[in-house]
Amino acid sequence: MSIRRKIDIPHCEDCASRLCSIFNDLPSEELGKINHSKGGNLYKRGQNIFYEGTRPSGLYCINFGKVKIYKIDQSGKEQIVRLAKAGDVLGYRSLISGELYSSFAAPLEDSLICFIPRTVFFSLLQTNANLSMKIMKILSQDLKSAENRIANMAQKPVRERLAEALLILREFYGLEDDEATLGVALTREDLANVVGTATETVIRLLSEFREDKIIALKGRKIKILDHISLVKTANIFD
Amino acid sequence: MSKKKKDTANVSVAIHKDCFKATIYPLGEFCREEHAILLDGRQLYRFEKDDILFREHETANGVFCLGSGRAKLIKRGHDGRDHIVRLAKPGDVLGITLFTSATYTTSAVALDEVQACYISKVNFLQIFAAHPRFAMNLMRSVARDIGEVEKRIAGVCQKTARQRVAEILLMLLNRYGIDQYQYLDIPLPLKDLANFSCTSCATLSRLLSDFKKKDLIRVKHHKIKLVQLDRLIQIAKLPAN
Repeated sequence: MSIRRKIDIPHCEDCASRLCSIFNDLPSEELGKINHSKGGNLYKRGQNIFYEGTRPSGLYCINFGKVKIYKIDQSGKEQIVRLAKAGDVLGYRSLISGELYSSFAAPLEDSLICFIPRTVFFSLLQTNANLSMKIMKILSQDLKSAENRIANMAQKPVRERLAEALLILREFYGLEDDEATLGVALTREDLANVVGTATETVIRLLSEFREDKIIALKGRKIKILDHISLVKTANIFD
Repeated sequence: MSKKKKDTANVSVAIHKDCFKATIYPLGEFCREEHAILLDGRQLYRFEKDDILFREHETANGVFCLGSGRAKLIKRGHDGRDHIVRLAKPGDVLGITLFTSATYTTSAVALDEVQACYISKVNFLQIFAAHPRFAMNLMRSVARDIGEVEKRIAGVCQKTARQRVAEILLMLLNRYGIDQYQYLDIPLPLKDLANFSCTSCATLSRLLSDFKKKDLIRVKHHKIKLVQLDRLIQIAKLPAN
């Protein structure tokens, strides 16, 4: 689906994703500052939001859409390090650490993403301890999940990691109206890059899960039929 | 039981002496006398090698700020094996995931003699809220840590063991520097090094002796000296900078 018409960027006060964003309880004066200085763009699949090796000049904030943050190796193979959804901010890690971007960001579907200049964001951090606390919570969560992942990578078999990835996607993006289908339709390749394995392995394991009646597949959509078995397969203990 | 030893002799001293001169520590300046906001309620502890600072799944009541020494952060897998997720150096704050987690998400184990300041969660959060510069420094250091772990995650999927080992050696050089004999200044046994670079001990020994044969590194008493940095960088396929 390609959107060719002009997109209106909503005022921050009217942003549909504001309630699930870190800016949800910002006083309207400070929100006005963001609104005044922000820009926005509609990104389509295949476009990039930012590139590894470039210097962050601000913070991205998702109005609607889904985004993957990934690294690529010498041969061009992707590894997805994080996923983001509406209301999430992007590019904060490198912005805060003062480093160059260490990953790429690209939309998984058409996404409207606003951009807040660096100076505006940092001046808000200086004055608003509440916002700092929220950013710190995101960082703390990221650190925790990165540590979990590196420990899992070395120890968990691919089958368990795939089951876990499906559960994480369910947790993160939620379910569709039928209360069973995952709220995100990743390509098999993207899914393999989340798990950190070959695409063929993911395809083989998905059909194994289907034969075991744990999931049902329809195109890119994945429906979780047997949540308990999936949790068991994922071998999650905390 | 954690083998915490409160260093009563030193509690009256402001803080571990290294912290005073260490402007590079993310929180170093906040322990200096002119703005000694960290000093109240902090306690200095001393740990021997292999002592446990805190354990995974224990209630996270506070953070440890490493004054001197090194520590490893480990997680126990469901198969009972430990995996090293991060290595800490002086100046690092350990237990920082208490911002989102009621319990410690890793265990911290001393690699050599460690002196660390314990700051209670309540105290730490108060300081965080009251001092934007402190908050910013802390966020910056955590953001860097995340970057490092994510780089290693990508490495596990994308790099060969050979590339990973070369990269980890360079990372250790970057992080811990060298001793007076120009050997890597890190008391990490091979077992731990293998664990940290996600390879088996056998693969690691094979790769190290291969590097040794090609005169890229020298190994003596379990300590490693990097000889040809540019070639290691090439092997790790890091951008040369």
